[in-house]
Amino acid sequence: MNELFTALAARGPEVWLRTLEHLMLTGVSTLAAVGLGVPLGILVFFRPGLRSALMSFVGILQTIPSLAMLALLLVVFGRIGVVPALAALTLYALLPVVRNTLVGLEGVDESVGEAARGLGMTPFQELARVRLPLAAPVLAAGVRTAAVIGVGIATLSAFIGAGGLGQFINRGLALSDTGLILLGAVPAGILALLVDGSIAGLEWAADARRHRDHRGAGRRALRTTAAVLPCALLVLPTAVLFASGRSAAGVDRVGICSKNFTEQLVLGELMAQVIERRTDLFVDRRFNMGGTVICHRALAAGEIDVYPEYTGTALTAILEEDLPGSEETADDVFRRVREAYEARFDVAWLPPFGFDNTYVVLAHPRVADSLGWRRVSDLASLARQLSVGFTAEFAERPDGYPGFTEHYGYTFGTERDLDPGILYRAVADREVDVAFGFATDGRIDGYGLVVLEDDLGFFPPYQAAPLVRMETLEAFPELGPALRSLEGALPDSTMRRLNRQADAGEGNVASIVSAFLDARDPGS
Amino acid sequence: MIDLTNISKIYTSGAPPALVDLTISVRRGETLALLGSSGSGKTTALKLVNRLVEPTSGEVRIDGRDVQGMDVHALRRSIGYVFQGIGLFPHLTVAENIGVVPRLEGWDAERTRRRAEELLDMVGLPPEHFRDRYPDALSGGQAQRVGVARALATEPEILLMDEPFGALDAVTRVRLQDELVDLARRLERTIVFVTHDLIEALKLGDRVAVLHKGALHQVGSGRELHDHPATPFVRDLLGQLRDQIDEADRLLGGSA
Repeated sequence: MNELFTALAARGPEVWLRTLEHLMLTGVSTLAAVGLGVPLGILVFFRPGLRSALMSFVGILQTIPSLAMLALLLVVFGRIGVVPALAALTLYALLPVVRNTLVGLEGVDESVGEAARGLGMTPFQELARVRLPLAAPVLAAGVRTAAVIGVGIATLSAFIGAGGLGQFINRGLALSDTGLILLGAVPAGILALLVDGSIAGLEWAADARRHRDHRGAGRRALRTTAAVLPCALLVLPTAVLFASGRSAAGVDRVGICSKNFTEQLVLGELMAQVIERRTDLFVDRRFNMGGTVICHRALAAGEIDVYPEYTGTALTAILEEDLPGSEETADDVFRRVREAYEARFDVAWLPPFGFDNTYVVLAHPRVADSLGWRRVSDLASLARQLSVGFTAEFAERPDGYPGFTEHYGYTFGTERDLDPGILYRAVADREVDVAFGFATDGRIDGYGLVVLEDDLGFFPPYQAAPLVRMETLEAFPELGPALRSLEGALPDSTMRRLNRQADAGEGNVASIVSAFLDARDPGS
Repeated sequence: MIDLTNISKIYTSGAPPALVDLTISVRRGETLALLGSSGSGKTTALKLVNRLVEPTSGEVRIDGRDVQGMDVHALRRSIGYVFQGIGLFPHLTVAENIGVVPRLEGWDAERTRRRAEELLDMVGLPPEHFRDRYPDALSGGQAQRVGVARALATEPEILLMDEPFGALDAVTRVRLQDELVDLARRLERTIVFVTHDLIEALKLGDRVAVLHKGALHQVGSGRELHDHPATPFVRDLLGQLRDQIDEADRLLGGSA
């Protein structure tokens, strides 16, 4: 709990912002679900033929796992942020609203329906004057369910960069920071209770039959409050957010994104802290995004401003160009992607961090020593007797095993697909003789593995560098110099050490990065 | 006033028809009882009048006008309707329930309120006690009186009642029957009501129409039905009444 209060004290204003965002996500999606779901419920009530089709459709919507739904809508909308998150939340909220509308309308006593018809009400009058008022409490219960589900699922929308309290949880998970996790989880829990309670009040107020019990002015005020409170709770934050413009790109705000693995989190946090140390800009951390394409789209769309990327990845995954030939140096490749990004996306590649996270061939130190392995070519004569491990992805990529065997002209005797989690350990335990790993993985140092030199120059360069939107660089002239200060700051060995510290849980990522910056630049 | 001519009604094809070639006229100002057991078609015959049921063949005329040519909702609003389920709107007060049709007809709030109080007085429910109550705070008899008041709100020429006292206990039923006889005499409305109770039919109806399995057996006053039964069914029906009286005498240790 101490961690929670420390985190809260440090980030009071941000907690307020995230809470507003969270309520906005919940409120807008719940209102949208009501706007969509009540008419749908009415439609099904009047057209029973549509019932099974529509009800199973909204039912299926709700069984889609939340992350899958968010990912799906990400693709549909082609952008990250609030829009796909709202769409997902609305779809989830639809089932309870539609179902309760229908159940409420159908639940009206048949004699009441016959009376309405017998007295000469049109179907619309019967709906508006009799069925809807009588269905109101059931309908309100559906809205309540929808809103509470919304508060819960809204925590997940941080994964696609929509903000909200989930952002603390997400960042906390990424950085192994318990305080941050609690900072998101505890307010989200409180919000769920508040929303539930206030809509329970709405239900109470919606039950028209209770009016007779409360003729006193005090009771009437209570009823009004019960009806207004949930609206205020859900609608007001939206208004505040729009009025303050925080949901749009704020003038003094820099959004930093990272992908979902250790090195990316370290780099993201590193850039964030450098900006915070050297400028007065507000850094909005949107870490742990679902992959290269998501970060790229967010950057290109201007939803974030900065993220760390690798030249090789940019070339193959984003620009979809051929692999660099062996005559191209790392600098050549860097120039190529830089020019292409400036021209096509209006995005700048700032000077690289200094390491090259390409594929490397790894061996156990004693084996390498005794057999005299220094370079990858040294393995050629023995390869048929050796076993090799690599990830499933490496087995298929053109810059992976197929290209490797062609380039070096040999294949290994035994090939094993291994999970990245056990790949390095497999070499250390001598379950395989050699393995293809990532150059800057902390576990290379952790297990003391030997990196063999890519003497025939097969592996393309994967130099990492900050990507920044040109527009942002122009808007904040102090941003460029701050990020340029990281040029060459992280040779392979340093990046590996930071990754190992983060993987081993030696403090959270923020403190590891902070210690690194302190040691490097004691003056700041 | 109301003329049903050659009406047949089939709800589901293949099933026995609910009504077969029914022709019956209701005179202005009279109270006509539609008497029959369940499945006789009596409720179907009643609902033809305000088009809650549409005939398979034949026609319904009110004052000579074919109801098929009228706006169905306006038609229903012009006819009072009371039924066994009562169907008071639970979210509206007694006064609001009575005011439903006036409001649909565009009356202002004040006129509607005055009318509701007038009607509450007429059905014997003091307005100051009942006006603001909700239906679930009423007894069965009180609810049925409100139902009658609601049906009479816009002074309809015609009042349809579908087993109006069926859900009430015997004592309340007899009292409400007496009140209705009195009301009908004072209001001079044309009333058609459905019942399965011969005594009720004889007590309230100026004439009784006997229906059985979708066919009309006879229309006439109780005396006519008793003295000149048109079919064996009518004779047996009236005969049962005599048997019941004898049975009651015997049970009570009377003269028999």
